[in-house]
Amino acid sequence: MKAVTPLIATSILILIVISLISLLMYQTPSLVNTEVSSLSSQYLELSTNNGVHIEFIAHAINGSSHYIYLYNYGWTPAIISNIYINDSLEINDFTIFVDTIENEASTLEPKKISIIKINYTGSMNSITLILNHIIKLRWIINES
Amino acid sequence: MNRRKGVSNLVAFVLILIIAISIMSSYIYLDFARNRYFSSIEKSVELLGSRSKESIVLIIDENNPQRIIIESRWTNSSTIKYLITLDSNNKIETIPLNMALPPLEKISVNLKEPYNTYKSIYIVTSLGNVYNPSLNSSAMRTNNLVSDKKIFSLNYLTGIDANEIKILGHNTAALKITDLSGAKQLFIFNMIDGQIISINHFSSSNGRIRIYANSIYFENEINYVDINGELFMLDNPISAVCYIGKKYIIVRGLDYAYIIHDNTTIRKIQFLYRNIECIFRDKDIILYSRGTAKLSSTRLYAYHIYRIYDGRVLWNKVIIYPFESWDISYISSFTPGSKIIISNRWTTPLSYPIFGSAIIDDSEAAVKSYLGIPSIMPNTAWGNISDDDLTDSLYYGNITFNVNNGEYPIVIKPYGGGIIHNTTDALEKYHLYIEIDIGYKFPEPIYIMFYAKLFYEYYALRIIRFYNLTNNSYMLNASIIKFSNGFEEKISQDIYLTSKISLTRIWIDGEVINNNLIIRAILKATDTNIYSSINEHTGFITLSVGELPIGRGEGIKVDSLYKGKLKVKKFISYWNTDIIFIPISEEEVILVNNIFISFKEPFRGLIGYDERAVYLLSFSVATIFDPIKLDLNRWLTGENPILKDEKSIILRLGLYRSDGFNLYFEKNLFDNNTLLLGLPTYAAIDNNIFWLIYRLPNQIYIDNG
Repeated sequence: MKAVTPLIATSILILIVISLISLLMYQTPSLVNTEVSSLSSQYLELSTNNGVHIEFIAHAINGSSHYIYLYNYGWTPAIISNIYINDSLEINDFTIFVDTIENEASTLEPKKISIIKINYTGSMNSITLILNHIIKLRWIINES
Repeated sequence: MNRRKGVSNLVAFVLILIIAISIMSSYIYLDFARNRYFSSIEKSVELLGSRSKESIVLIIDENNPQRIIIESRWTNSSTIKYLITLDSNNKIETIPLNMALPPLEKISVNLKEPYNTYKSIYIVTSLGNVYNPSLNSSAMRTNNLVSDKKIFSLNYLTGIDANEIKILGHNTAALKITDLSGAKQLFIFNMIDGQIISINHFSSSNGRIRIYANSIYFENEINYVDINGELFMLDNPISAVCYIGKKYIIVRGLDYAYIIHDNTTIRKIQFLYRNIECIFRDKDIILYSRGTAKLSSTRLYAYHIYRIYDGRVLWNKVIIYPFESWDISYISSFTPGSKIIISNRWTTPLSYPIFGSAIIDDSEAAVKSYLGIPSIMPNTAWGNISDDDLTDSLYYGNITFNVNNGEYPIVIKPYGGGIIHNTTDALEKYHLYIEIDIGYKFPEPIYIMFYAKLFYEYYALRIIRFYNLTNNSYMLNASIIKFSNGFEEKISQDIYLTSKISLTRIWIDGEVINNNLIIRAILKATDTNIYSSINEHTGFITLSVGELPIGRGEGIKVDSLYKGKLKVKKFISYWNTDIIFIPISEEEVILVNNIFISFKEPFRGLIGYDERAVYLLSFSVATIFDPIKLDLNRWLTGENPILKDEKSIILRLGLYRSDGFNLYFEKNLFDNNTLLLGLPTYAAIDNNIFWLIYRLPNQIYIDNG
């Protein structure tokens, strides 16, 4: 009987240690992975955004449409998240073209002229673009 | 108890291992993402730095208000991406240009209307800068906007890539080198006098046609060509220059080409197929592309060939073959005014490779048509040509092997082949260069045809294997055979090549020398059972005059010299547009015409005082004569260093000529001091002349013999 007690005690101790370690092991990788993956994706997102370089070229009005000519001299395409004109008015009715008005596109392609056609009848003093949900660009428009 | 303890330890260890691996992999992934982020920052900073340095000025020519002059005022090349015009009706037109603007140079762009009819004009560069023109009366010069400056002071650090040198015309070549700043510089130069025609853009020899690209293979497609200072838009973009003439340039796109003349005539020629290739002899040019011809339900392999002479199209023709496809097919020979030879290899469903050549008359004659284009359509299998087929074309079986039962197949290298330059009644220039791998169980004999008067009368090199009782082994012999009306006649002595082969590689070369047709073969056999290392044997065969209608052409003589550190001395127009460039490496064997060269590892220590970097060429002259050895002491004193009494052939770096029998020392390439500094990086060989390109500190030398 004397011999059984230490055996049981040791077994219980081992079980407890294994359980604790298992719990730790189970949680730690997922914790580490979650943190690392979050950090990594932030790095990757930042590096993608570093490849977006937009230059404003020209603005033209034709009838009820404004045309904004932009050039992406970076190396990654940019997605337009939002467009605001005159600093406050959000525009949802716009179309993107690449090179010419005939080629419709979904992003601002690198090393290409992009033309944003905005259907808006009022005057435009400024245009603000939010790219990739994070990059904010604003230009003053001189309609003269 | 102990057993349970052991299990728990194991479990703990495994779990800890899992954690460690998990953390490690996470860290690696994180590190990758972080590096990518940092490199994107670096790239971005570099881009913004270049962008802020870029300086370009746009000037409107007062004498011609439709012309804008774009002038670079910084030290790097720019790419003009777009011309954008905004007219008085607020209509914006974007015109993609993709023109390379060399540093400190000028190019001009013509507007559709005078500048004052536009509200705004913009030029956009690839670095994202946008420029507007300003009036400036100093822009009076309208022609020769890009100066043809000579280069006297450029230093070059890096070697020449074989892909970055190309002969582009009768006397014109392009060469691209990286300079000390790391920038690539493109030179178009005259191969005769060494004068540089243009830098960082393509130009006709007279300088009047310009294409603003600074790569042999354009980095961007180009829509414009500059003729006499005016820009002309092409219907479709171009991607490469095929040929540069004195007053014209031939450029190509996907399935079309343009012949652009300096009198502003632009002719577009349309091909049936994509991927246009170009070969030329002096001013005689062939452009061709390959594809599939559909004849009712059959699909057959076809060539579409345009024949051009000095900028004029002489004819275009479609050649349709009796097979659906070839493994290898290329125009192997082009004799202007006579024949075009197409060489092919095709593997049949039974694994019988068939080698064949088609001889096409250099004339517009063709008995049939395909899609409205004159065409030749042989209708029987390759190598089994009946007389009836001769009404369509004259062609013959070239080399036919059955390798079905071979343990190692026979492999003919794609660049090998018999290349015959002949006129109607005389063999003007002869060249044969072929490389073959032969396995142990090769079929025999092997016939390599090198000259044919007709398909039923031809000459061939025969390689045959026989059993030698003396040394109890198989041997390879070679001889020249004449075939006539089905009969085979040996017309040369047998030449012993090698014995006991397991894998053999043979290079065969031939040339007309002193009215003799000389065929040589160099053979490398590997057999570890017999030899501890690769063993080489050479054979040498000479045919006496009179066997073939031999004449000897003068060839092309060019001798150019340019002064300064970029030293372009002599470029040789080869049968193909590409020079043969062979990276020099250990055990590389080159066999062209009457020079056999074996480049081996740097020779160290034998002379005692220059153990570091002396590069010696080891010449293996295929000869029945005793080998020769260079006397290095005599070489140092400028005397002929070749001694004939030694058993090995070791020559120090220098230029040597061969008359087919002996090798003669010509001159040193460098003086003693510079010799130690560099190693040859490339050898280019043509006819009896070879040249070597060396990389020396801060300099590139292109030298020749």
